[in-house]
Amino acid sequence: MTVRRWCGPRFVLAVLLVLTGCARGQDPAARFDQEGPIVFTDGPDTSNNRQIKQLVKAWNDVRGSDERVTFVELSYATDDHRAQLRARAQDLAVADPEKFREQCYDVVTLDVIWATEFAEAGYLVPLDGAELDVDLFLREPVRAVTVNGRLWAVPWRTDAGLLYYRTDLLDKAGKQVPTTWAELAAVADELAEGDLAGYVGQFGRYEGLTVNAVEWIWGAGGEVLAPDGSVVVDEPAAREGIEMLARGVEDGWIPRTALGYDEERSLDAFRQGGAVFMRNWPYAYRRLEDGNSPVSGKFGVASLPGPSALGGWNLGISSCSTHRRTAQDFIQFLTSKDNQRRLFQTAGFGPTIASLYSDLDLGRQFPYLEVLKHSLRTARNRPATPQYEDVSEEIQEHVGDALERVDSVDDRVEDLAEELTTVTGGG
Amino acid sequence: MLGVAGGLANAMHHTIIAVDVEGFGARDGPHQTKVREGLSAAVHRAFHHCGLPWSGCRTEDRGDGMLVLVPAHVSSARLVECLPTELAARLREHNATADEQAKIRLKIVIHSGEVLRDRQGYSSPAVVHACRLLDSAVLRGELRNASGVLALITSDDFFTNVVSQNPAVDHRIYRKVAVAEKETRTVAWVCLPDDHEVPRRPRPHPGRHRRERVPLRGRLPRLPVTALTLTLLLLVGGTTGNVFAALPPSGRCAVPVQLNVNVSMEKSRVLRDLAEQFERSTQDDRGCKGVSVQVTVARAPESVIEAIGRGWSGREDVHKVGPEPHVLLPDSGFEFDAAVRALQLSGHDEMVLEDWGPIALSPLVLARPRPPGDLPDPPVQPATWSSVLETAEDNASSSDRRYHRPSPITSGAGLTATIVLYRTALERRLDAEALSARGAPNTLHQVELSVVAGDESGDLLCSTWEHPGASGTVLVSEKAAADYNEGDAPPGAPCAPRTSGSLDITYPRIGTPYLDHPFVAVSWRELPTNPARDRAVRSFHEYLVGPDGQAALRRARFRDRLGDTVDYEGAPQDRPARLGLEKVDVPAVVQAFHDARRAVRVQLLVDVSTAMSVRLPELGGSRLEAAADAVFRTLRSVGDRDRVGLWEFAQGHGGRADHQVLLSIGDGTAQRARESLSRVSVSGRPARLYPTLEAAVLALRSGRPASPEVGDAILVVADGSRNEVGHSQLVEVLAAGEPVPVFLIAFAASVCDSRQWREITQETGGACHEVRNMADIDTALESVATVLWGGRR
Repeated sequence: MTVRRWCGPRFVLAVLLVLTGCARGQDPAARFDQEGPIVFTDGPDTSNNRQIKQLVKAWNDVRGSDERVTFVELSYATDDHRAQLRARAQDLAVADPEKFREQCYDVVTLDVIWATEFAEAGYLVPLDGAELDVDLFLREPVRAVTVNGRLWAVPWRTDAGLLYYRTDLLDKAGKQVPTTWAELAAVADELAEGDLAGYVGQFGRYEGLTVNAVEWIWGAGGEVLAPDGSVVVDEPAAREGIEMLARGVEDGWIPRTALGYDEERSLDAFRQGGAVFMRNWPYAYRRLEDGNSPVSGKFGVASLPGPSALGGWNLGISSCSTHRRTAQDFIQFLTSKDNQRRLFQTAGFGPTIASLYSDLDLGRQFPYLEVLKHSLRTARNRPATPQYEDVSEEIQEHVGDALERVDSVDDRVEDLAEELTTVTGGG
Repeated sequence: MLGVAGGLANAMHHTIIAVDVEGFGARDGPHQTKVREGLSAAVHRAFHHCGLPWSGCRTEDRGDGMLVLVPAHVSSARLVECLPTELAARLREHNATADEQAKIRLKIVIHSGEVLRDRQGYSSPAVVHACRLLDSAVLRGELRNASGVLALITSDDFFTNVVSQNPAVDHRIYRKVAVAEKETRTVAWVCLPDDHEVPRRPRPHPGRHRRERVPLRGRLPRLPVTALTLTLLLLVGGTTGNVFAALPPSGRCAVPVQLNVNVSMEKSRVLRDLAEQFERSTQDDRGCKGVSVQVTVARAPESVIEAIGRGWSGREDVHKVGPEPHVLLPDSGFEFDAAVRALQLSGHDEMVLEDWGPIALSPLVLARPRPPGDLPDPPVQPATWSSVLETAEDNASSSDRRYHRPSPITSGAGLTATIVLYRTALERRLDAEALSARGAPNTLHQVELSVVAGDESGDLLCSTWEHPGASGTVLVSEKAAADYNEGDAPPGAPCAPRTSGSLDITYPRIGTPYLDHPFVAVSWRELPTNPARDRAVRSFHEYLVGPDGQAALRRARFRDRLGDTVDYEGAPQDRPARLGLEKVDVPAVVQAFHDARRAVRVQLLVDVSTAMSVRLPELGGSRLEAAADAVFRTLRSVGDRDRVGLWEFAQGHGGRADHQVLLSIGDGTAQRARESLSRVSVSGRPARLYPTLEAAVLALRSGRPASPEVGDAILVVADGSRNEVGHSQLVEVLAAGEPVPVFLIAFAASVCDSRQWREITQETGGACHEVRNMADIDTALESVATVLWGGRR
């Protein structure tokens, strides 16, 4: 009968509790009081005058070498960025954190599309929402980084695609800002001439292409995956969205070189006066408005003629971190209301603190804050599926191929639908 | 079907393929539609996966099947080697997700012959024969008894002439049969492409090996399995300090092992496909993949090598070049050597590189657009690389016959071409010493004028593609040339799709270097060992060198590790001999390349005072005439991107100034410089140099172009003596701004030793040469050229 007392749920529970306690650094009180130098990663600081670097410097000036932050810039492209973070997290997953302290990325900036994946893989430390005043933040971005009621990261910048346009060129031609993609295509086609492109976006084979593609698909009334998870990208509306884009390349108002563009290259093209329209994130505003920009004063910002994809970057603490107090303090510093206001003013990053969107001064200073607010409200998430990485890769491959030859659109869309069915385990 | 009006005089030879779906008629309407769509897609995709062009084929729907006529120029060997298995695979994919009534099992015939199109469709005795084979009872029976999805029949002719001649096809799986169908009595060959007999391991008799319970002392508590698993997971989770999150939510997959691969542009397309297939091969039975491969394309081998030289820890390396790689796949072993050397030089030993050998091969070839309308005569094959250089030099001045190669900065083929050309030109091993030896910079500069390197942003074949009539010969990899001929745009290049035009491909008889596409495994000393990642790297390597990887690389028109490839339009008859090259100091070659290509602006100042009318003893001409002659010859080294200005000077010669501008440097092409030189003549005035020199320095500085790549220089040809006025002012001006090298070719004696000239040459980094005859002049000009194109001043 001794046997009976060993098995059953109570024993398991006891084991769980003991193990929880024994696991290193798990004592709730001890968890967040270590201070020390930390490494902070984000994408390249492409903001005007390097605002993030300035913030890091401001922190270092005050906190000194005891809590020095070293800023490491990772890749532009979100998939490369994730690849580097994942590889590093995996390498350090079963290692002694003390021994490899310098290799740990204490504070990591995470794209909203893979933040929860990192949480679920055990690469992040769960955070205390109350301590971090998470109620002050926008609801959707917070929800996106909450799993089973636990908060895993703090939203830092939120992003929706915006339409940048040349006010001087539209005025000269007597055109209004388009409110549908079809209108945009028509105006772009009409005004494109010689070295002046009609429209540029992010069409290189990386996550940027997926974002741009879904925006055109949504704009045409289509969708990639239905709410029940079935693949609907081969239905007429979605097909039409892709075809419009491919036709743009064929007819030339989307230049062929744009098939290799990312955010920076398309921004450069528009900034040098090379395009009538550009789709890009909010950060582009400040880069276009700076003193040296050839298009300063000659451009406007509007919502995309359809729903934009919701983007966003969040700050998390890696499990390998041995200086979690400093890490959390630094996160609070970066996401404070003042710093978010400053980052919006100087770098154009969409704030995640709700009250900033009703800040009258800010709105007066930057009328496009209203545009951003509207775009965020109507923005949509990219296809929700645990296999998002694979789904995005398939979209990149097949839409990328379709854009190269407009007469292959039907075949490529069919192929895409097949591949997505396989990849999502549907069909 | 035999309405052959006008005979078969207008018929064309085709490979004839026809397919027939088993039991088509027995299905209802909607399912028949699904079958036809599925069949069409499967055939289409099978063609695509085999690298067979669909666009040239003619097809006819036969209701319960299809007829496909493949034009003669498509390799029937490749077709029969690849198509049956690919088609079977595509059908299996279709069947996997189709419901019972929409599944496909197929009969297929492959034959060849003359085919004519008439009002009723495609006809000819060959098509009839093929249809008879397809409808035969023998083939029906084969499919019925098969466990696979496909039964294939070929005519005796086709088997004899194509199948049995192709060693890549295992013709042992073909069986000879007799066919009797309508009036046709003939011999044919059948096989089941996806139903080979796999010898099975004898199964143990069921029941014999039931698991025996091993008795233990006492009885162990039998914890339920889930509790045990939970406990294990908790232990694992515990060490990451994140207990609860270590549990993936039920139904989701665990995060796969991350494998970061950095691949050359040329392999990017095929590698992305292979990475995806490899990932799929690591899936478990829940469909969760075990490895996730991130493929980053290296836009420039040079930047990858530089990043490696910094241990990949430069501030911009991860974001400009890519995530820290676990596998590098450059185009050539030269790049691997360069990377290893960069690591050695910098002392960064955090990165360790290992070359695991080639995954593919591709020879460097010479490709020239075939003039339209020409019969495809084989191009003239050069004997050696020296012949190639000579021909290139001869054609250098003609813009539509000029030779080109890709930039060695952005292309492995460009780097290999640069190495073989420099090696040939210098006739010795390419180490730093050889590249900077006397005369070498000039020689290399000549190479750069003869075989122009493409610029870093565009793709060379793209411009050939867009303007074939205006393009000369290009040195590219065989893979790139084959892609062009088969109508595929180069990976990553912004070319518009093209439908016609071919390259004639050749290579020197003596042999050509091969790009050997090494697999480089990277490990990082300062990170803990990660056995799962190491296993992933090994598995990925195995996949690439295994049958699937090698087949995909062949289809992408690389040669596999044994040197075999698919057939393609314009392929050379024989396999090019491999030219070995010794170890090369790659960074030194790249530096020499930058130097040899440096664009220059040279301001020529020619003394036309009476002192220049002095006759040179052995020539019978004046100093001025000799100088003009020598400069004229040197203009050969001036390329399209260089500029030459010409001033003549003597005291008061230009009115208030001492100089007259014969050719302003902004307009100064080599041709115009030659024309202007012929107008130079002695003025009968006394000499005066320094004010003119000062004016020239100021003019060059103010007109300075934005690019730091352009080198400026002033070349003075003068008597050189009896100059006093303006020296100190000149030196002030020289010191006050950007240094501009000043070279003096002086006819008088004791000029270069004077304090004045030593000061000038020291201040400017130039040189002074006293000359007495033509040979001296030539030597002086050569050393000027060396400084202009020969490395750090």
